[in-house]
Amino acid sequence: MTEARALRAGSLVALLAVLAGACGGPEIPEVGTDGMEPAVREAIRGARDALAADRGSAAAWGRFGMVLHAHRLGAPAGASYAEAARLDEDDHRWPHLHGRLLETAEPARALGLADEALRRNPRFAPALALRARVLEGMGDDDAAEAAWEALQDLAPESVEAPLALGRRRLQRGDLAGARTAFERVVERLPSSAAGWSFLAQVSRRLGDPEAAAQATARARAAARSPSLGSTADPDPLLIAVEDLRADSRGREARARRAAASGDHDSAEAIYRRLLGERPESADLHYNHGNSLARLGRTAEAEAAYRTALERDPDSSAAMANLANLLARSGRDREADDLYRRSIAADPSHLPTLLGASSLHFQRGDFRQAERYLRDALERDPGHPGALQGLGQLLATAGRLGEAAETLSRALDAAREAGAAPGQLAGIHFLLADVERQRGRTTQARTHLAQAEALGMNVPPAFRALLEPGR
Amino acid sequence: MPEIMGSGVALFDRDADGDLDLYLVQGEGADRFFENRGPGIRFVETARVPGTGAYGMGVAAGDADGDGDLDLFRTGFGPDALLLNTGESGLVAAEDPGWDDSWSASAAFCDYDADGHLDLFVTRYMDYDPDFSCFAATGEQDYCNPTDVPGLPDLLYRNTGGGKFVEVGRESGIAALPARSLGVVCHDFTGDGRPDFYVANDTEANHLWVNQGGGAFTEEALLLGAALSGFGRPEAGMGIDIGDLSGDGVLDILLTHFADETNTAYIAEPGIGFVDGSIDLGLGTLGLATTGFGVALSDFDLDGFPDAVIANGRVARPAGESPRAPFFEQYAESALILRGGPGRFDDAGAASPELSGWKAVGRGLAAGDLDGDGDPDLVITAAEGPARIFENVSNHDGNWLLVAAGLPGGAPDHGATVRLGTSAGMRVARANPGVSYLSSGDPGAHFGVPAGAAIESLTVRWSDGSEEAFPAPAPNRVVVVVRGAGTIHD
Repeated sequence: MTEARALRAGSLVALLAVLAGACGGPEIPEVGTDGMEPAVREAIRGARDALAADRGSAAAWGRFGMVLHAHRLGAPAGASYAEAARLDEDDHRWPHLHGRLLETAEPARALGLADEALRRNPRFAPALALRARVLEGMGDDDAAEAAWEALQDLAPESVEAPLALGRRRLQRGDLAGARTAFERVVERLPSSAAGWSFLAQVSRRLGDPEAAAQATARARAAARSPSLGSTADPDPLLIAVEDLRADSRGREARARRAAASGDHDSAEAIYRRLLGERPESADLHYNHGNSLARLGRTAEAEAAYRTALERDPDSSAAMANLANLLARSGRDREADDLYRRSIAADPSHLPTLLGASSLHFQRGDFRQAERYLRDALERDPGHPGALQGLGQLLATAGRLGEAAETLSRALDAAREAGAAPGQLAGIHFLLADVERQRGRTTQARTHLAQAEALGMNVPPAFRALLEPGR
Repeated sequence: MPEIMGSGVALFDRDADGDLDLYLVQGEGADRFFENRGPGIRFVETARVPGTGAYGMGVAAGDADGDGDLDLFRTGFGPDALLLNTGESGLVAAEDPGWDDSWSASAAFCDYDADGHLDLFVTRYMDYDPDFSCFAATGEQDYCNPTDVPGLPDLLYRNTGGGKFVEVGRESGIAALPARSLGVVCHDFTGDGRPDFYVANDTEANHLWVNQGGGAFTEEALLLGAALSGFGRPEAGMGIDIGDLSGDGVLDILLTHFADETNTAYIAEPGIGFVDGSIDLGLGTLGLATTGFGVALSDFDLDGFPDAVIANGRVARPAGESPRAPFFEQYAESALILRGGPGRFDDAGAASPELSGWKAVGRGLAAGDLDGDGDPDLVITAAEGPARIFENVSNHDGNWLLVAAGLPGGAPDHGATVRLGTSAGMRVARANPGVSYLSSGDPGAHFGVPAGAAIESLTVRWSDGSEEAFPAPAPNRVVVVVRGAGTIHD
């Protein structure tokens, strides 16, 4: 739509709003959209048009509120939620989202809105969590605790509730009770820096320095995660709001969320559309390449990485991933050249060092592979992947004692970093094989059992090697 | 982005005439130095100190070269600089041993290795590239959110004597954990006689670098409960001060934060760690609407309890505000004035209408007795606006004592803790200028002594861990105590 047509359309919307206003009900909130990204203007205009066409619709008011909320236009979003809630007295969504908007700026109003959402839907856990948070922030500890207890009953998967209850018990000096609650937190969410940090503090107070040290290490690993920022349980309505962000960066974030959750089809589609708007972005081409690679569209992924490198020739990440792709398709020499270029650009880029090591390991050049891994470990001595790779390499080279020691370190590091069960199982399996070769059958069986307990399907032929009498 | 984060202020007695002079870091151009020409609050600009090409951020005062007078370390987005106090000829840039040229923020002088030379901790904010653009949710170009840009390891410079410094971040362990660091304070938080460093990190877990001796530090904030808020959330840490918030005779930590976050009080529990006491102290809702930076904990009304003043100013446009509106209007906020009482802080803005009514993009803040009347005054800097001096005109009938804790060479002992026994109870205060945000305040330990209360004892725990008792002084005076001397001087 051209600017002139957009202006005319805007005038028409305004006229309709005035006419509708004359028929009763509040005016549709005015939002100045000058300067906004066209896609954002279009999203707001679309939601507003839909509302103007059906001003008696709670859903249209609510949707308009959500679109405004998504773009951080809080005041008009709040007014829209309020009207949506007035028009539909049963829908819990609008008072809840209104409450989320006001949670910190106007806690007393937010509390009233949370209560209204719960009156409409007593089993809506996010509203109960909102109520508990607001009460806690206002210093009403007893009422907050009751709300957290209710949330724990209502949503047994909640991480936020045991975290809050643990904090409350810690305040009261109930250290054992606090520890139980924090253990529940980290069991449900192993990446919870807060859960591990509180667990470390409680363990220290209980006179258990070893547990405190382990929990501190886990907290530190979790604290490096970008997801550290929120301790709140996921709120599906707020996620739906975020999904309405129409700005380029908002859509990019949505693509990242999709990729992180394994939905590479959606991620690829969003990146492809974004590249239509920002073809100059090396990051977008790189991320698009990652999605394509995950989907097995190797040729397209290669092209995407190469375009990323045209835009940003020093991108170690793009060089490393392109090299990994080439190595997997047997183009070793090209891959090796790229790894070298990447290392020259950034000698501390660990994914490059690990990829280069893997390539040389596959080619049987153990010495060079080991050199890369030791470079990586010099930069990050506790890197679980580098330790695992080195252990595997040493085992293959027949240096079994060193391999066992290195893999044990890898296991500790992976545990500290909160590694996925699959990675832990893989290290146990490698250790089982090393111990078997060293003739330490008991230790080998123990590691094998742990690998299986972590979900690994151990090949029967390998298990047979460790059966009694062999 | 640097333009919305700075700049700082230092109050220090450059000319050793017994009053506090004023140094204002400028974002661009030469910094400005004003000499205190009291009586009363009267300053005259006597020097402009050329910049180093950096966009100026913070300043720390300390006797870097051990010659008995106070020098300055200036941080910035670009090369940092050590400005040596050369007496008559003013402040002169020292030889550059390779100071950091990224984005550094606050700095604190402190003799962490007890060798008699003041070492230097410098926080670094982020690995920022001015060509990197960030955008608001509406797609409009905006200042970056800190989480858009990675942090950097902080720097620790060991003073090898004579104003020569060597960066030892890697050997000490401090370089191991990059973060977006802003404020820093040096104090013996673990009570083991060795100074530690507490660092406020923006949107990340704070760091408490615990001094292990032998030049090694380990990070223990997550273990000791000073990394995250009491809710378990990392907050946008900006400025720091330490004072006895809970009234138990131990210095606690007050951290200023972004809007929607409390100004967080980490209450020290000796031998255990810290607990977030913000809500119990009444700080839960006060300050939630504003973004705090510089902070001073001091007994402004001389009633025996520390009060707090926090310079506020947004770093992001309010939601829905147009980016075309003037910078000032969108970001300016009023300072928060908190009156301390037994275990509680209350909003005291109404009692200081001039300060609470001044809207600015507040950043640096330093407290010190500028007019020599015994109560602390304030200097607050603002982004995109002039700094202002606020004279303390509190109606108080209390008495006061300012204790300058010095080393035998004449320099202040940064990191000393002073205890004053009074008939109204034990009071404790830091003798340490390196607090707040990008700023440096009066190095002396200031005490308010409630009307009718008598001073009964004076004890100093020096930064090397030793403790020394001095005769109880009379109130309403500045006293100088020197480590190992055993006597006090006016």
